[in-house]
Amino acid sequence: MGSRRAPIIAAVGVVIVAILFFLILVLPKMHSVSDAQAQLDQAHQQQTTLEVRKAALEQAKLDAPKNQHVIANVHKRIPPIADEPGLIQLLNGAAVSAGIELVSLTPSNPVYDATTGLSTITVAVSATGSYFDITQFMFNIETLPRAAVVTTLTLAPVDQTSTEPVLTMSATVNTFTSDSSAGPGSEPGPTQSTGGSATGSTATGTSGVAT
Amino acid sequence: MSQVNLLPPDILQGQRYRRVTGLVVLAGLAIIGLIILFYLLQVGRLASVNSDIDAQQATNSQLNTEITDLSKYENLQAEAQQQQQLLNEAYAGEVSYSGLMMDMSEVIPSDAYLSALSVTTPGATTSTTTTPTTTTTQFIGSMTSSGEAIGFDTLSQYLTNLAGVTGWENPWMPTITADTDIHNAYQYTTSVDLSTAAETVRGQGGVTTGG
Repeated sequence: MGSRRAPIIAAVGVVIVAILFFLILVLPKMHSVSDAQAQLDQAHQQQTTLEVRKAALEQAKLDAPKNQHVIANVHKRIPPIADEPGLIQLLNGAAVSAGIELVSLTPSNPVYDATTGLSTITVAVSATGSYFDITQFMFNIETLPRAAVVTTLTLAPVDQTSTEPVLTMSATVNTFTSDSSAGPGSEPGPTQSTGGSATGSTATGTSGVAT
Repeated sequence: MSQVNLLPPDILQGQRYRRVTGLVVLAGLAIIGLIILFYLLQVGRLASVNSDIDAQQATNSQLNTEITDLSKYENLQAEAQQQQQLLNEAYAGEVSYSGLMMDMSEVIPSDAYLSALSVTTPGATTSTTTTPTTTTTQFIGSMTSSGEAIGFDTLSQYLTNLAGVTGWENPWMPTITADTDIHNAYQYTTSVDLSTAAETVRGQGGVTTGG
């Protein structure tokens, strides 16, 4: 009787041992291989991403001289400090070059605009000269090394008896600084915006320069 | 001559069962051997994939190091873009006043003269420009002038000329008053709306830092 059951018992034992071997040894290893393969695929994808990023950075490296030139140029046009002495010199130079006579320069306190990140220095300019001298002065203002934008202009006659009538000119010129806190009562030196609200000075008073 | 097996049948059957059992055990061992072989294959494959992962991670690590070294150029690029944006903001809406004055000198008829000119464009704090809400043209400022001209033909020609300048819209002559001292002479005032077409290239966002 026992001999008759022996092959069946052996077969069942073999099947159980085979299943146990598969479950205990092979299946976890297959999972490990699968996980490792997924990890490898992920690493491959990461390499692709990194190579794209590296290519972009290589391009940025090639563009570095151009970018440095842009930064230097913008710093020249929009200085990091208000630099009122330089501004007065530039405006005076533009007037002298155009042959007009400056009557007054009235630079207002810089006003910081958090939206643009610029502090605007509005300069009221009064001068006398002929129509075409004033035209030349406007051109000189527009081509200053420092960014300057004329926003108003009023011409009125002074002397209509001479061959070339003399006009009085009143203009408003906006100049700029990237200093978010400039002018009287402000933090001395360049102050860069940290993304918060305006920190420009609120002190009043203007400095007029008569020529 | 026939052979006679003298072995008792139960012993013979027992031998048969033992053979079958042995075969089953052998087959089981073969299956378990195959399972172990498969397991070893998986072990080898896992080692290979892990090795690939190590190599890939080394590559990625090298790429990361290179990216870290190059990231300063990305910062430089971002700063240049930020600076360029500042410059664009500074010049936004700029109108060339020298060009405007040259245009005015060209369009005014020879038998008319200007006695006063006033221009207001974006950025002016005292801008009083109002535009009808029904218009689709975007106005950015206005220009008013006054003067004197000989005859209505001249006045008409002046208005026509004003309309011919790019960016100068809706020329209007609200007052025409006869000069009591001079025959056929009329004092006039004009107004012109300035549209975005009057803006300079850099005023329209095309500012370059090349020079």
